[in-house]
Amino acid sequence: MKKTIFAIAVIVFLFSACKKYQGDIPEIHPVQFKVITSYASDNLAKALPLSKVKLTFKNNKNNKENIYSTQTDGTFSLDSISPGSYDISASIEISASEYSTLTGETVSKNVVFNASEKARTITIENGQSIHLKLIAGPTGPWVIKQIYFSGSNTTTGASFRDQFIEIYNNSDSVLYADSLYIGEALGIQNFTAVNIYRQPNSQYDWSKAQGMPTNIDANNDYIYTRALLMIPGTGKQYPVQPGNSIVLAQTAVNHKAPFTGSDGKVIAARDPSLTIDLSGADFEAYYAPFLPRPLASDIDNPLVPNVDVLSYNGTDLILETSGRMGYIIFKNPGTTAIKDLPKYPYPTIAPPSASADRYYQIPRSFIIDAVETQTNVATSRIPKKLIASLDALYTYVPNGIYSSQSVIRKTEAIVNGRIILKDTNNSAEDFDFLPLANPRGFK
Amino acid sequence: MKHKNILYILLIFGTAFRASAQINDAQHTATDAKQFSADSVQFGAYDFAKISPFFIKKLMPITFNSLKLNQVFEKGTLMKAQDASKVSTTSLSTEGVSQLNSITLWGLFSYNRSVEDSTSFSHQTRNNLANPYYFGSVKNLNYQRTVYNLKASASKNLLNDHLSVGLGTDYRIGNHYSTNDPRGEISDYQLNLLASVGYHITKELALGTAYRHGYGLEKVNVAYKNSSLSQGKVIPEFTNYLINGYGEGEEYNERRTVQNNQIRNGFDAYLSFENKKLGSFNFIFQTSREKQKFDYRTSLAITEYINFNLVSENYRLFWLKKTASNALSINVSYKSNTGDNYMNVYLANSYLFRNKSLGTQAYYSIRKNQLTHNFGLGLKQYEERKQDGIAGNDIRFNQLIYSLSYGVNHQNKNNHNWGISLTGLYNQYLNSDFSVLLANEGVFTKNVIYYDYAYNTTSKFGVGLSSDYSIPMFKQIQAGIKLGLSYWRRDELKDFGRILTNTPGKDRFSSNISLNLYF
Repeated sequence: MKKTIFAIAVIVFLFSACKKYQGDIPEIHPVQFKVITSYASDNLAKALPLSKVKLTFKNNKNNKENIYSTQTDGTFSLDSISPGSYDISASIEISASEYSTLTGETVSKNVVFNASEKARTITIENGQSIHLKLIAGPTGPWVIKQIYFSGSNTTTGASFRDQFIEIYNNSDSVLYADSLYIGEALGIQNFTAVNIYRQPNSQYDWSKAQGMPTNIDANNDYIYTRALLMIPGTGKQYPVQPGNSIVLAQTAVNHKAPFTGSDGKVIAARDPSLTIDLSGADFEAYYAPFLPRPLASDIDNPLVPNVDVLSYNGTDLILETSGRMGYIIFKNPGTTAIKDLPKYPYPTIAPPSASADRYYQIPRSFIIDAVETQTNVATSRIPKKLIASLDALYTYVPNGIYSSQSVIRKTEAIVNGRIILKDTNNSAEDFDFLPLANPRGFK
Repeated sequence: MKHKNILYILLIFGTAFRASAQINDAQHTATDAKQFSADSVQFGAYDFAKISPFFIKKLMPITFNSLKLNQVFEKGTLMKAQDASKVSTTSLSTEGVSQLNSITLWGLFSYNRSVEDSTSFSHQTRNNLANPYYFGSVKNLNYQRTVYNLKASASKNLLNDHLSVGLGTDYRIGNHYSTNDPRGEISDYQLNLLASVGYHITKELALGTAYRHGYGLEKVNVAYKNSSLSQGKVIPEFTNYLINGYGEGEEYNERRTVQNNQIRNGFDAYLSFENKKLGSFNFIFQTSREKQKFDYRTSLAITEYINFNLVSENYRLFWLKKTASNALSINVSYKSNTGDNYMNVYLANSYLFRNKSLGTQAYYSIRKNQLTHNFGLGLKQYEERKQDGIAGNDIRFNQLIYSLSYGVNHQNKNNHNWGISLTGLYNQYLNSDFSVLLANEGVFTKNVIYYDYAYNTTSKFGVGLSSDYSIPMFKQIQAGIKLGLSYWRRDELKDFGRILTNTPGKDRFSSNISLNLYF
């Protein structure tokens, strides 16, 4: 009997020794987070309101957006937000009359102030905050209306051949497209490069580029372009009526129908419904004359004028199909010809070679409109190329690469039959998408 | 190649059992085996003994061999969100007990092939249900699964039967793949080993312990055959998500592979007390700790994603009392699984999984003339809680499951055997907690979390009916056919203040037919 009791006691001891190590709640849990907004300009901060600034939190894990508004002091406290990576933006639109009243400065259009931080990591600690400084950007008469960068299916569509950019006259008067520049904003395309100088936001640190003057803000006051194209013309050769647009095609042909490439072979989309007709484009990019081995699909449509090419990338105006690019349009308000502007190499840690590529440095003040696009895959998004005053966030096509989708600027109003497109310098707000790109279409 | 090896093992196994089964009265053995399988109490003891070699000499018959070819068909949407609305399973299994000199051997081989229709958000095996890290999509998929399982235990007594030593092994290999996009392919295998030792302290009381060690591997890959779908989210329901815990998944259209390496260790403690007056008491305590490491592998590097720790505890008491014509068994069990993850990104855990069940089943068998009556009564409380710290989700439910059964089996003097049984089941919803942040409501929350909560918080009732008939064949075997039907239906769904895009169906039906050989 004693043996039995002893044995049972041993077993009871063993059971009680089985310690559990899990807690009752996960160590990671929703946290408190505070947003503080202010105006970047001290003078404007004294005059302009900070209540009802629209705050948008987009969760990069699932692309879900939640919108909040600031209190009168410009702050907003979230009691419970899941840790993770968020695109956080702040935006306030002040009517022209209110702005004039408050600041004494007469303006004809509503003024939009934006601020943002892309891919902000909210950690597992309580009491975190973010300070967003609101800044107004340019809202010019020209806007980038539609960008079709994704292309169509590589086997059944036209792949990247059918890409285009559409630029729109958003003003109430006739504009001339002559000498309008279209550029791709250069920036880092990954998170991992170690052989190059980078800013805290992981973007290139252009101030370290070889030959860069030290008395300028190389990162914030300039954009560096990869492809840089210019609409030709004599000055008043290409008028664009209010509410009209120009389409710049990579190759201005009807991609729904077979056509013969420069190598004599027929190029055809097996499923024409996936692609578009660009034979009616206003301009096209034709790189063949200056390439030793041009792209077979880059044929010249004699009915469509070619743009002037100041710099290029690749064998045609091939836009980054996943979308990781910035686009700018500008005119030259200065006296120095754009082709004579300084060019700089990448800010590599090792000195660049004499033959290293160099890129045009475009003053931010020249820029009329800018749009940043990104990939639909949150984990593949890269550091922002455009600062908040040019484009607070970014836009993308939801179905991603080779989906036939384009990003298109939203219609804000129709005045006397003229469509006015939304332009708050925040493409996340201003843009939507088309399931099939549609030159000169609206949304 | 692996499959061939398994088949060779099966042949060797089968031969060993057949050789040992060649006793003079082969027909008598076959008839006994059939009667044994029809006796809920005795067969319950046999099932209990499969847990460890410590019990196989005590609770298993000296010889018992069976072979079963089974076809199951289930249909209905009264199911969990990640289950299949239609499942067809074909299985072949053989198992038996045999004596090899003084060693008692038990072995089982099974082959299962199932075809699942309409399963979503679940590129998973069906064997790792606490798994917090997997791919899934809204799109309903057709899954085909093939699983081979080989189990064996051996026990030998030493020192005048005072000391018993045993070895056990459990090997499973499976392949799971979907036949439509997004195509998941999961290959997995598990190997678990056990070494036990027991000692008879007194003639009536024996104590034992065992050490368990196991290893497992799951490799998951998701791909698209239709290149249009692979080039982005052309149709949103084809989007591949990475589920990490119990919250919204992350859109994951690149690097769609993950490997899960599992290692588990545990120990058992046993107590067996046998007394002519009181019957046989058998107690098991088992605990194991499993670590699952999820990573992404290329030829260049291994990227570690998360770790998942799972602690299991199992207490089980089985009491068996036999008289000349009656037998009673009572089985009381408590089982719990507690899991938490560890995210390398945050250096902290975000997901807790817990379930526990406390249950008892009683069986009473009466043998009278040529009839065996089986009465069964079961009651089980089941509670499950999933907490996802990142999403802010905390969901718990508590259920009570009743079962009541009666079966009768008749064997005539020609050893023709028929049986029929009826089972009533009731799954009663008791209580629950529901905390899900609306700010995080997305496709997974709507399609899985809300759906499962609705499913788990409604009461259900079911009924099962089975019948079988067997006759002696070829003088050495008892061959039978068994038919079974079951039907589940639910009550009204609980309103928990959320809009459901999809709700659990009203009922689910299943049928099975099996060919059984006893020898």
